[in-house]
Amino acid sequence: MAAGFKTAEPLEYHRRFLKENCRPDGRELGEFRPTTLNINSINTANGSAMVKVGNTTVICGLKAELTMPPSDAPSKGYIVPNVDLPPLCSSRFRPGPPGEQAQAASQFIADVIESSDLVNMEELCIEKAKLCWVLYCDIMCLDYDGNLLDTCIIALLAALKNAQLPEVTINKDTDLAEVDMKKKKHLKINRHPVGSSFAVFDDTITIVDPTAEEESLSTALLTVVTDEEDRLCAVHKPGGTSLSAEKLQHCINRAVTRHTEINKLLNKVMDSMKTSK
Amino acid sequence: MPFDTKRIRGPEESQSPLLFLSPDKVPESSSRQGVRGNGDVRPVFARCGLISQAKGSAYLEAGNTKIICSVYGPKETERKDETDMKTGRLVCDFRLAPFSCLKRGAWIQGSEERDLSAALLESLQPGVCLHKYPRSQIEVNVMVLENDGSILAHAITCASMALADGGIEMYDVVLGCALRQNGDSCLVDPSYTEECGNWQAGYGENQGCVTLALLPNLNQVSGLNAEGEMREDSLTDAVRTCMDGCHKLYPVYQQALIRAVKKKAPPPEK
Repeated sequence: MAAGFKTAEPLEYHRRFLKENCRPDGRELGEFRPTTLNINSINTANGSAMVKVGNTTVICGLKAELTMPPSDAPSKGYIVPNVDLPPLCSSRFRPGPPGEQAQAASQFIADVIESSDLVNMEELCIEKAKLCWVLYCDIMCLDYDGNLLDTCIIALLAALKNAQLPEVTINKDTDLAEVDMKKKKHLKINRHPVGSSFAVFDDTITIVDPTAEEESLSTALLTVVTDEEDRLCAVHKPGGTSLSAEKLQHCINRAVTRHTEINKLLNKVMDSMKTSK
Repeated sequence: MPFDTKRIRGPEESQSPLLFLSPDKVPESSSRQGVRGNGDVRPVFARCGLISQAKGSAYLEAGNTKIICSVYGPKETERKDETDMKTGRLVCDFRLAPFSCLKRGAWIQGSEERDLSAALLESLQPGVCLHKYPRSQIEVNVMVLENDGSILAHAITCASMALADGGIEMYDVVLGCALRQNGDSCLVDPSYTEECGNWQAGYGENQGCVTLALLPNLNQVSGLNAEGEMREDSLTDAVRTCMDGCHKLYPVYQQALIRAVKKKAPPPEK
């Protein structure tokens, strides 16, 4: 009977739960879904990470290539993120060029990288005006169940942390690059941005980490990205109903707590990689 | 690379660092000695029911090759003009993730992927009871996360496991197996380096790759893909070896499907 009610009146169904301060899957309003992280699974990529937040699964593969630095910034490299939502992850996505959601997510990730100064771009430069690294971060969603942006940020961060770039020197005689695959080093990550997504129902109730259903029924969506020094990196609120300042502050505080949780998870996984070697 | 306005732009051109390897520091190519024989297939890890949004899904790992597949449907056909009133349609989409190969692939689907999608469709169609789904279409989406050889063969197996997991009626599971003919010896289930072969050997005789799709219980071949130049007798032997290869791994896939069914519909408590 509940299943029938859920299909006929999804909004009422959710409202009944929210009145009792809980959600259909049994979570509290401020509770995130269990998050798991797996790194270094793809051997063909320089760095890789797979993150699962509840059912939402995202895999990020990092490939490093060589190119000439941009003419307006000869001592910097490139980081090119791209989010893809293939028809594999949900029946709502059709094959073909990236839709609105994928493009918006890609741009958001690019903004987070730039505004949080995640990686020092000067480090990616090998020889000024001649050679630099371009890091292609391809983020692919394997299962879409809401909260895409948070999961993408965690996957990107984990992939960058465990990425290993081979050493490149420029041969003075031939002026060509020489790559040594045996010597590899990690990238230096300056900041660790972590995002938290919220959904607003009926202009009053704010829930954390919405599933795909909750996202489609919400009246507004909000993503807050903070870094380890409790500073704000980015706030993304694409339209929707307005939010009062105190609600926004409450969301930011929740994002800060989420940051410590994810940081612990990341450190645990990185340490386990080191001990296994 | 065609100009892609819908994605974040990077530099116009970039080269893989593998092109610049110092000649004395080329990594050693691995051989099969000691790890497995020429006629041995790689051990396989298969699981069904991983994607919550899909009707059926399967994940397959053979050595380093990682493939995930999801099945959606049956749903109403998109293109009404081609609707066949009596049978359903199978739509296959084969994709290689950009980070799956040694050289980064482009996002836009290339001719290789379209070719593989067509081969996949051809191999799966005989196995599915399409006459039971008139006027509908079943979508099969395959994504290769890491390419370490024999992707078409493993994709066929992964796709049919996903179809079975999704409850689509089939005559039989379709299993795939690949083989690389290298002169007088053949390597079953080749890895990426074995598939590409040595450039020197490429000038020799009898070089090629064979991929076979088999329905094990009916012992019928639903798909055969051979490339390269091979002698007639080595081709027939290769087909027979592939069929054996399919049968060898059949119990593993059976176990994976039984496990998935038990999870979805647990047997009644005694």
